[in-house]
Amino acid sequence: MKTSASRRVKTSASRRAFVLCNTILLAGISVLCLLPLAHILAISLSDKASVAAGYVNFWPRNLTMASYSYVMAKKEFWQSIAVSVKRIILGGGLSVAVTVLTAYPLSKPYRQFRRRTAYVWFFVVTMLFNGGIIPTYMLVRQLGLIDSIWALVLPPAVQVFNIVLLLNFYREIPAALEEAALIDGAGHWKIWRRIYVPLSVPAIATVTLFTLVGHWNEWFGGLIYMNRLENYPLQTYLQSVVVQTSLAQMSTGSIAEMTNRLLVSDRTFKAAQIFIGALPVLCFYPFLQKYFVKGITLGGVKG
Amino acid sequence: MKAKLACIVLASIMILAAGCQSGTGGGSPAVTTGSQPAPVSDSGSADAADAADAAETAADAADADVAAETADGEMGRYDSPLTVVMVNNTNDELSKQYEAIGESAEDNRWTRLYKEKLNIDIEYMWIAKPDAYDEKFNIMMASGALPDIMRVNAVQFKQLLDADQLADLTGVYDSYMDADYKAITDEDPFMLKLSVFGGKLMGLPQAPTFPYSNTHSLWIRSDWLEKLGLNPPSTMDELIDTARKFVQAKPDGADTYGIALSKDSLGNLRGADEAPGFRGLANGYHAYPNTWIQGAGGKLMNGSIAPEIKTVLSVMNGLYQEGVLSKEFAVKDKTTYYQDLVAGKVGIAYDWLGLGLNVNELKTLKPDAELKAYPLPSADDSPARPQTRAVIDYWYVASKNFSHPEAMIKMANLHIATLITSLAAEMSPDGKTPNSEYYGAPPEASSAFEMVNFWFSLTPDQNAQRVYIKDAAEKRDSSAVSKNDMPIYANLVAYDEGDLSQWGWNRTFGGPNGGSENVNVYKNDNRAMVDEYFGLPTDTMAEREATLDQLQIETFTKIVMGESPVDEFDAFASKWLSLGGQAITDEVNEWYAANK
Repeated sequence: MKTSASRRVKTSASRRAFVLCNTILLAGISVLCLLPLAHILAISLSDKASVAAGYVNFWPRNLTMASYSYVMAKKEFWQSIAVSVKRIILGGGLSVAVTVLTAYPLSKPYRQFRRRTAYVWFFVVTMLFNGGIIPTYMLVRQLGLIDSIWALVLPPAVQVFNIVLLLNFYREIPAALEEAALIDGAGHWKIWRRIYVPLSVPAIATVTLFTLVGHWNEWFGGLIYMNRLENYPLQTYLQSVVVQTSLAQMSTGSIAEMTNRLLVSDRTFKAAQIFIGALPVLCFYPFLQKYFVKGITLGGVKG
Repeated sequence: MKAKLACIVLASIMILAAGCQSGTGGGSPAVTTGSQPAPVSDSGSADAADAADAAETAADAADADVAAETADGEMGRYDSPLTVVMVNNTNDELSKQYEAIGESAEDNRWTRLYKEKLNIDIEYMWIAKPDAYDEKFNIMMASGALPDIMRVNAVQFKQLLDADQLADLTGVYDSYMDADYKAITDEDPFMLKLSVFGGKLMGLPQAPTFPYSNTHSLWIRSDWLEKLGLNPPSTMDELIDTARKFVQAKPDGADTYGIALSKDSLGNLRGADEAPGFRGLANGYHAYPNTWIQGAGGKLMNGSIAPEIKTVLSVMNGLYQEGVLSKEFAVKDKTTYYQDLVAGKVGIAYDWLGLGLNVNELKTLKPDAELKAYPLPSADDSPARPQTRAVIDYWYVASKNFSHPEAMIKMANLHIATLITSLAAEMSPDGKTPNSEYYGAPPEASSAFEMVNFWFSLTPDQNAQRVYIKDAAEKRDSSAVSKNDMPIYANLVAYDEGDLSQWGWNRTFGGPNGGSENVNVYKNDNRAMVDEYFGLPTDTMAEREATLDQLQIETFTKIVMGESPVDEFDAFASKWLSLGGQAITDEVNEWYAANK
């Protein structure tokens, strides 16, 4: 009885008005986010001429799968997907491992780890300042990483933001759990493995998601560190296809350049590639998203 | 104690890892010179032995810089292998062609030719697509590791010159360069003037200048003219009248405006970035925006601040008010600019000779549509002179650290001989076609000539000169067509036989009233208004041009849209001078006095 009474209170007129406004507002924002994607999808499914004339908005005209079959037949496209997958596995794995391990000692209080603050600052400084593109590029080159997958995996391996996130999460875990384990004779490895990791799964999931999506979407590293087209990760490859080559004047009388003029107007093919490239994130994000909220907002042990 | 130790050990491991990320300890910016060992890919070609050989020589060349002995002669073969490091720009079209013939950027007919004839192994420091190319090139320049030979544009050329990174080519040019190339440089005085600095030849122009190929034409939907019973306009008044009639009649049914313009048209973007639309219109009133013209006292002045521009802007303001210019032109990017033409929202455009290629889909969409090129109409009795530039787009330069700059000249000679001169007619390795076809434009790989991104053209004003293909195609006689131009010939013939998707080529090089045909009208009258300044960007230009361009585009756009009065132009002219324009004018005149 009591619950139904309180439910009636909740659905008062003002409450309903609020919920309605909220729903409309949020639905509006979601639509704004979805429209560009719908536009891309519509373009990718239309014929070239309609797109060149700007007839396509959110609904395909003269429906055709031609651009998809063209993309599917492209060797470079699949090669770049393979590189991206490799990058995600190596880069994601390494980065998460490093994050999880670094956050643990840094989460210890002063009495356990005296120079903690100094070390945290050491990391945080790299978050605030970096060497800039050219010095970083030169370093990577001199380390001999150019054209190897490690140039994409090692430089972003230590994500300080993620470390801080996880560090704070670890800190919320009651010290009593650790003390009890210490009394029972567990060492730091065991405490970390048996207590901290299981209790911080939501946070680790969040960090993993951040890392994976970051690796999937990042393109600039691929552009500057990779000297062979076959080593481009997917986003770099897409970027190189999608960014418009200049349309107006042509420099030399090269026929190839003139032919490019014809290809540039073919936006259906680019749209198909963008859509395929965005597909994995589109598919997985909604399912992993619940960890996001949990991982960032929930602290310590509950329930 | 143990716990503490573990903490420290863990933390120090992480410090190591973090060191990798922050990348501050880069050390001295050592310039790696010469060859950067790059793996020579086998790519599954038949020439496995050759590839192994190449890999070996690459390793040799890395430590022995003096490996190659200079052999004499324009195309003398080196006794021991010489590795030349280059960079490569491979566009999608070329990748497709590689696939078709089973070759690759690293191992193809040209790399084999250089190996066989000159004993030169070509290695790439990196390979990129056109969009990534400039970015990578700039990072490469900034980091100091240059390839031996590279292709540069004017800006890159100046940067490398200023940084003193380039080899002096004067000596090797004099003693090795092909006579035909030298003959062309005698005919086109701009070529060497643009490449000699302080008496030293620093770069090899890729092609002669092309002033007429660079001019703009007036493009009109001729099917609209016929529909409304109008004649092609020959004066500005007639043109404006035609535009008004187009707006009223809406011949394609769409909401129509008169003359195409994009948001960047009024600015000063150059070369490949230039937005068409403004200069052709301005030339009709004898105004020459973004061009250095003769001013008072034999000195050069910038055409953008000349009083004639004011007239043009006030006319355009009127056209804007009555809807002949799109009310939304200030937000139209290039994509929209072309989109409107394809969609039949606009029927008049001032654009380059290849506009048909940009709007090729128009014909597929509307088989009755036709675009024709006409000479620029003039506001008065004297014919309009299309403004243009005699510029070099690309040079080949050698790094200062390259110990064999003559190798670049030899490679150039071999290229020219194989495609254009002495060896062109000889039988190629495939035993069926002559060299000029096999290495130039075989049917399945029409861009073969640019496989290693090292190619020259000796045809002056190439796109204007290509009008000859039109006659050949009409007669169906390809005997006079050069191998490089064969794809164009084939496209023209295909269009004549009903392939509408080749319409853009017909509009560019075919007829009647094709783009190339029209610029030859100018050429026969010697009518082009060539920019008097053709040097590299001056120091102040490099520094201030972006600001001045911004000022120009904002002021002009506001005047055309009626947000500022036309008299605002006078304030703009003096502001332009005070914001660095005066310094640029002085630099340009200094250059002019020396190069007249």
